[in-house]
Amino acid sequence: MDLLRLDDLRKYFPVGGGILRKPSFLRAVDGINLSVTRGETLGLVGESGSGKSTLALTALKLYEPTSGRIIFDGVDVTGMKESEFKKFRKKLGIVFQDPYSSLNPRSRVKDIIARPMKVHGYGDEEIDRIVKEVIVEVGLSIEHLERFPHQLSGGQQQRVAIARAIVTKPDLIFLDEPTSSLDISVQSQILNLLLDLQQNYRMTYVFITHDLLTVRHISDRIAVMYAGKIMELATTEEIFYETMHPYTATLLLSLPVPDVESRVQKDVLIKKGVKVYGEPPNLINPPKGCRFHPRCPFSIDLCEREEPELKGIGSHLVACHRAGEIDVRL
Amino acid sequence: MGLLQIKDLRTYFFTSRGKVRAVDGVDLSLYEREVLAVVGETGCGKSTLGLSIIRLVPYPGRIVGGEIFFKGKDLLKMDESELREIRGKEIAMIFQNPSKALNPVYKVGYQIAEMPRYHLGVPMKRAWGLAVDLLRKVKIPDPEVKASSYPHSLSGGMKQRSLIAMMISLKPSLLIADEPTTALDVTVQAQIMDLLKEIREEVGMAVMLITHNIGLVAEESDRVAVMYAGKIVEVGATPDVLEDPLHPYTRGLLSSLPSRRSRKERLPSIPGSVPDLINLPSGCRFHPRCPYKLDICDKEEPKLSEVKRGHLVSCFAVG
Amino acid sequence: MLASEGVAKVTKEASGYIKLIWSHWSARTGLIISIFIILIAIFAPLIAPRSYAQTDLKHRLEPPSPDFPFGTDELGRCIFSRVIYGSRIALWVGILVVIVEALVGVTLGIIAGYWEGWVDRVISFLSDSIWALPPIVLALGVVTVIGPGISQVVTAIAIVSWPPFTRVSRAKVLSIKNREFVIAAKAIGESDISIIVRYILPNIIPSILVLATLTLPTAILSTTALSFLGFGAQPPTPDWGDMIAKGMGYLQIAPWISTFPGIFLVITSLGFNLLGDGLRDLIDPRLRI
Repeated sequence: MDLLRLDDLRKYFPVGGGILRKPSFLRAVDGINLSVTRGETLGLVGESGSGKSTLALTALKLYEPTSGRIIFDGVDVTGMKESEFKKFRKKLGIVFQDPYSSLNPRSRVKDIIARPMKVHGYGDEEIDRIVKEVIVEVGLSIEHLERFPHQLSGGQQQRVAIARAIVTKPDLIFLDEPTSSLDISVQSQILNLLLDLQQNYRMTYVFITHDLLTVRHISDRIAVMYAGKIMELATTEEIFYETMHPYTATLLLSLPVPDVESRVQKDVLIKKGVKVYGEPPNLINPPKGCRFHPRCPFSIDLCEREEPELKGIGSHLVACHRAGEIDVRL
Repeated sequence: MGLLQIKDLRTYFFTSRGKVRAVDGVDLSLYEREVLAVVGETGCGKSTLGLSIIRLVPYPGRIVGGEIFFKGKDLLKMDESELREIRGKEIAMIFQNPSKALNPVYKVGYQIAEMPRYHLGVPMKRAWGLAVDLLRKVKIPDPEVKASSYPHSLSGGMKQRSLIAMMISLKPSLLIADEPTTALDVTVQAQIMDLLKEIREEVGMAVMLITHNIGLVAEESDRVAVMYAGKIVEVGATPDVLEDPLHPYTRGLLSSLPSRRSRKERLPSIPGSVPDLINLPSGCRFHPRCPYKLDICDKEEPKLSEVKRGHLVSCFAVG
Repeated sequence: MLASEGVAKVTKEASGYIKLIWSHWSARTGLIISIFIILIAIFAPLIAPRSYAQTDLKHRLEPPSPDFPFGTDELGRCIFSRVIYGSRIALWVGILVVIVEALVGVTLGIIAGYWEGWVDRVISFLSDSIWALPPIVLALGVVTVIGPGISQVVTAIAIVSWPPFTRVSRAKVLSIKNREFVIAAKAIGESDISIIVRYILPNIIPSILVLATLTLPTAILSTTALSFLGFGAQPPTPDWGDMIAKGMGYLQIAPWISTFPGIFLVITSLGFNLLGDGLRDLIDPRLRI
């Protein structure tokens, strides 16, 4: 059974309304169908404005969904009041991009880590024991417990944030660009930590990022988002080496890569007609039809009129009218 | 003799906590029309290096020693009026956050036109026309409209293009680009880098590309200098350094990047973290984290020496 | 943790803060002056040679002399003693006013900032309206209704001066509310009250403290003004404002009656203003609090 299922989830933000004027809506998440299997790492890839962060916050009910359903471990939690949903929060975690902002600057590390347990009524002794275990597990030491966030480096702060997320042994953790703000040499340390923790605790990750290299390294499946919708959803191998959506191909072409092998393959994409152009979409008035069509070298009339559905072959889903016809693979 | 020749440059920040040795004895050359990438992590001094060249180091920083020869003349010996002639006209600089570099209360066209007006005395009408042409050259749609717009109505990518337009208006010989695309989406980044390449070729400009993105270095630069804790540890032709890294830091850095082969495996990583620039380790700054450390490494500082043709390293174990 | 360890830690943190304040010219000077005035207030009975109410009709309207360092007033009372004891009134009243203002203002500001919506609109409207009107005039209005006296003055000033606290705390709540550590708190299941008390309040306290330090001189001046107009302290209470007012009639022949309280009023205001100014500079960039 799926650990998490999102049915046609939408989140719109009202913009610019007044007493006399009706507001427009910023359609950040616009009809997402997604499921996450226990134990997997689902990569959620997109640029700014794709809706990937909003999706995470909405799925965690930190934003009220505008419509659609959230089903966690078989239970429809969409309409639940916070008091009822609170017990589910034990099983969910989130790690943010900026480690310093995600920690209360006025609290010591030990209190930050202890807090989720206190909120859910763990006993004092148990809390003390677990805090001491967890701090070592994330690669820090007991003496770090007394410090304040500003006394730690970026990498150390992120370890604390991860400690806080895992302390109630959650089933599912959302990671929103957890390594993007960190130095390269620290990124690999944190990725290793995440992989270790996943193995030890059989955790499920939704890993949100714009960095294709990192997401390829850590994910089993990848969903590519654009303008609030999923463009392609497939296994990591399929996304990279059997690409079907022009946007995914554009991302692959745009990505600066350090190894020679990947760069040679970019020429293949260029020959197949993949091009990078255009600006990120307007989310208040998204393009009609397929949202990507103004920037798509393969778009035809149909693309401007009708939104394509996300459908496909087996595990590989694409939202593109010309999915079978065009070839954008490496 | 290159376009830019930096000799033993030292730039320190005198803070209340102590002396931050941000750039501590850097020797570097940059040749005409080439792209030299300066790569390193936070706090390695690469941004300060860029600011030092153009002599815009903010307080409490100060250039305390060394020489920077640009077209044969030492920039560090020039006074403000001479420097103002150079800035913008010969050496231009663009930064990470385009929003912060554009004045929000002046139209975009006006700000671009300022360059030819101030440096060349071009009258406003003609300068405005030049500004519109430049916007067109940097592929901004509807350049006449955009020139009359204010910065806030432009997207991040368009702002950066406008800045590029401003910076190339006088056809400088050197463009210092400090993380020019870090704040932009990857598809926008690709377009900006392509644009820079086109312009570079047209104007005959050299570029110092300051970045922490190794992929960008691989795709866009001819040579690369790796900085660590205020010093250059390795420099050479980009393919040489990336495929055959010599310095332990460079090797550690490159092997910690996720690649196709590494799926779901633990990545090798450099233990420890970047040193505090106020309390630096003795001898080689990288020695506490180095798997190849020798006895001499914590006593003396290594110097850059040519190990292979055009490929210099600063390391006792290798050099 | 042992109590002695706790005390040692607090002292170490406090000395860190003191060192920081010492490094900043404005804060340092302000701190010195403020502490000077506070010490005068605390040790008034030891400093002042006489009681503030003690009259000596043989020595009326005398200029400053070794016996009466600041001279005497029309009832032969020692101005020096009265000014010294007056510092108690000034500080006490000022601090009280600031405390009440802060409690009212910050509570309203937090409610407005956290819950927004119509509650915010009502509170903001109220806050802006009251702030738009001249505080002394408003306070006068209040005091005419509730009568004269020190506690009445405190109430009156506090009622009309809370808006700055509401503005500042509302603005800070709005900016902090969307920071990731607050979202993270919601994600672990914290209740609204818990979030306000544990996450938001500790992070707005520094700004409120700065505002309080800057408002203190205004509070002292406002209460002094009301006393000057006769609504505050009643004789023989040595309120500086009252002393200045009473001394006005004797400016030609005995200017020292008004001058010395005036000087101390200025010094006190200056001291706290400098301190508050310095604290404000220190708060944001360096301390990252």
